[in-house]
Amino acid sequence: MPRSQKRIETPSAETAELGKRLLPGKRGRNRSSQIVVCLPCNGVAHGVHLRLNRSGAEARQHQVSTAAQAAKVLKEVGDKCPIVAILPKSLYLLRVFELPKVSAEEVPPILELEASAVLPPEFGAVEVCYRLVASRKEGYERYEVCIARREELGAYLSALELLGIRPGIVLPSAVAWVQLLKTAGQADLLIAALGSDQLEAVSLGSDGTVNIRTITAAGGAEGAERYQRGLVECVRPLLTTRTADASALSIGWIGPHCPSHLANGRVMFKDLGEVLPSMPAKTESGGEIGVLLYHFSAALVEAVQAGELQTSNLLPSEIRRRQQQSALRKSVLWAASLLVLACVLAYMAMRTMVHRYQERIGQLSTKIESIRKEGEAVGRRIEQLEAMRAARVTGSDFQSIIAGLYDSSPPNLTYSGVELDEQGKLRLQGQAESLATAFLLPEQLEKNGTFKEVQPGDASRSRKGEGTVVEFRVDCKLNRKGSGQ
Amino acid sequence: MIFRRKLNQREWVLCAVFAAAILALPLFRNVMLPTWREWALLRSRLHSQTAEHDRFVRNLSRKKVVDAEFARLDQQTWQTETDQMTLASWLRELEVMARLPGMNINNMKALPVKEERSYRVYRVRLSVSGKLPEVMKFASETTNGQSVTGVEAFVLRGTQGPNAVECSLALRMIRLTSEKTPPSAVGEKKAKPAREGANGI
Repeated sequence: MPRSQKRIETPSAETAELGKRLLPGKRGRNRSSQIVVCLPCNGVAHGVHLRLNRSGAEARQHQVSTAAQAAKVLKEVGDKCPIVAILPKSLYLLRVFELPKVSAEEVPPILELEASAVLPPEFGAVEVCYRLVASRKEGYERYEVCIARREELGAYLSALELLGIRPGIVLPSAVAWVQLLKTAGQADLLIAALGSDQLEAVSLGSDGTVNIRTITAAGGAEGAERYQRGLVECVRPLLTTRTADASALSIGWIGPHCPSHLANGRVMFKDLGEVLPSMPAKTESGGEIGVLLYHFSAALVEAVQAGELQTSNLLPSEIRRRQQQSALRKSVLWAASLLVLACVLAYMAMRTMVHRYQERIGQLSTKIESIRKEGEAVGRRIEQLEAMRAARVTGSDFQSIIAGLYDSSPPNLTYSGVELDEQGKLRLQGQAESLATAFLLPEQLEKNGTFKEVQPGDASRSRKGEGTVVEFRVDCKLNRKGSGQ
Repeated sequence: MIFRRKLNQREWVLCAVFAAAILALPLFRNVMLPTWREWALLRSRLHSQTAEHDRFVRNLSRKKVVDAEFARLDQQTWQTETDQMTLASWLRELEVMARLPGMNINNMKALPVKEERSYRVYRVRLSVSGKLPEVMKFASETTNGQSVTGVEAFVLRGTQGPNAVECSLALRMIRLTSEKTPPSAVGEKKAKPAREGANGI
């Protein structure tokens, strides 16, 4: 069981506002985003699971110290939720490099080379990630690079691995702070607890780069006073750059123990708990970290879902490749299982259908056998009657054609040939006194009803004795009554 | 082990896929394919049996009407003699009918007998010449007699003389056969030379 699990916020006016802000309406009604932001600290993994939907935001804070607890939490969270591990400033360096513009694929190796050039050789192998900051020179790009020793990064990941947590993204705290500063208003300096007995103080430079300092608690003091010396050291350089008539330095404080003032009076503390979405009550232990992780999760959720932080991921490429392979293996296994299942289902369906068909064929065969003799006898008689009917229908063809021609032929028109073939096609040949008479014939034939599809053929005038006659040809079909034609 | 060391992970995956395919092939050929064939065969048999059943049911629904029509049939509609005898008597009948003043039979030829499942078709091609009314009378008598006769085709041409015509007629006569009537061997033998003659027309 988790040592502590507290629901930070169920949908309320403020969290609903957060949900609407981070999930604009145009992205779909039912869309939801979620993220787990975690940080290992003294063998305990602190984590916040934030889920956003249209009705609001819901967050759960977890602290796990065993793999069993972590497994339970991860099961509850689900496979599809991205897990982001925050890397504290104490585990990485920040450097700014200016490089000529190159393609995106070339940037990481060049930065790795630059980083190894500026670091002492005893620093060892490093992992780098970067984010683009505003350029100052045309044709050049500026990169804020986070450099972590591979050894320390490995130890950090091992601590998580021991608890069964395999993050998809290892994000330097600088990147998380930049995302948070976008929403935290106009504070000159942000301070929050990140880890046990240490604070991180963050300010955004005028050139877009981040300045981070780790403030360690001094022994023998309680509450905010533990950090007073570190705070003074952190604030002093900022005050020296400010003019005398400038307003007081604004320091945003996330979490409890927000000091009311600093001795010199030129500094104003602002508890960001009043500005940011409402916070949960402090939990048993490590609550300060949980509060910050909650704000990180709210600031990062959209960027992580949109895949904007890929270049800021410090997860070693070897681990990334392993994760991809594992995911691919899982997908292939699923696909193969589904294929096998589909084949089995298809086989079972076919066997079922075969069985059903056999049954139906058996039933039909019995029925057919009981009526076959009589049915065939009647069928034979029907066939005989139809043959007789077909023969009888043609019996009167000769008479009906002659009668039809007699009725429909115009005067002064004679026939020299009448041909009927087996398909009922009729060809008429003859002579007429004039072309007009020959062309009148098809219309008369069509009107008669004995003939159909009448098509006038050739009609030509030829010499006969001392005069001329028109020889014509007409093709048509016999319209047999009662034959269905 | 040496073989195992030589293969990388991708090659192992390919080998596994290939092995799975090899194993799946006999399973597909011996189990899936025969079942699919059996299913397809049974489906087509079911369709044909359903059609046959429907046909029989439809026939039986018309039984009363068919029986009533059959009861009205003349005895001469039935095939009672051999094909040769039937043809001979029909030709004789035609000759008798053609004995009209001013009309002659120019040519008359029996064509091969067409044997169907439940009836036979006797065919004759003849050519007559004479006055049109006589020819019409002859054609009418040949088709309106007691036997079931129809006109397959005809060619009518005018000849020299007032109202004189020459008519080539292709006639057919239907004779019903009972189920027990065997196919006429005599008729078959006779039909063959007649077909040769018919081709020559």
